[in-house]
Amino acid sequence: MSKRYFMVRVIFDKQLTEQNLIEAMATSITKHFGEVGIASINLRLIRYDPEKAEAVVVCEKATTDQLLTALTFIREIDGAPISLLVVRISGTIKSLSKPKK
Amino acid sequence: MAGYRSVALTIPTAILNEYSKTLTQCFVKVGLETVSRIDLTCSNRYELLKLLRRFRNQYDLVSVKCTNQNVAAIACRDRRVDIVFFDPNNRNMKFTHTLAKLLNGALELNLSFLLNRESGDVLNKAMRHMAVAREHRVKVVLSSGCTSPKMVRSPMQIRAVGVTLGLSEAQSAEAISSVPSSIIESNLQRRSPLYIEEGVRLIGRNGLK
Repeated sequence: MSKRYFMVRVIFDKQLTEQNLIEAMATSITKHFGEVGIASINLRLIRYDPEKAEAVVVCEKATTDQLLTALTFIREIDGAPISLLVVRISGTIKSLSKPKK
Repeated sequence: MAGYRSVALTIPTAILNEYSKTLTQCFVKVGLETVSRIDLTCSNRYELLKLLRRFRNQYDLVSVKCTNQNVAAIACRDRRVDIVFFDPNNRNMKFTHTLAKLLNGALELNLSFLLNRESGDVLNKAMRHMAVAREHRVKVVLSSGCTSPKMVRSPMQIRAVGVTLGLSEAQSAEAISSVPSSIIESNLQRRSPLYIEEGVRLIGRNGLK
């Protein structure tokens, strides 16, 4: 099955842990697309760098739009506003970190 | 910059001249083009027509928030209105087939309404609006409508929301790129000193270009 890797920029004023981030994503997916949605998206957090405020997540290629929508609708974590900006989508992790042509 | 090329700034009429230049400079510094936009909110048709006469020539983009059926009908029919939008939180107002047939401009879906929604009904209503727009091949504009940096989302996220709400992939991509840019381009042409009327344009006169 093909995958899609997302480079996500986290705009958040407080300290955010990996656990909080993945939980927020999973909650948003379940809220908008249900249990079947979360199963088909098959979300995994590859890495999260709190210093750069960047995360890399992966999902199934067919569910790219669903994950994008779910990330769009995340607006707060523990009452504090947050923005998850998807800056790049790629088929491989390697090309995700390459500069744009 | 999140992947944007230009930004439409909704500037209150009271601070149009003084504040807008400073605000515009902030975006120009980071390489973004800016266009001025006004959101008209009226309670009746007379008020709308009066505001349109007053502000059409001052702004690059004129949008109308449809708060009732009368205002919506006039806004959809009037060629001076570029964009109409509906608040999905307003239960009494919806984008109907009749309005879709009347519409001259474009229908806007504002992401901020969806982000600040109070119930799941709002998404359902937005989906119905998109279904009507798709059926009547109405031009759709997807916008962030953000008021703070935390509400900014990238264009590809907004496109994905359009697809999820029922637009086709092509229509959704156009709604965030070519449709708004064509509206802005035609309005900028219309505001140029060389514009005479629709289809008639001055090509040159004594060095004027």
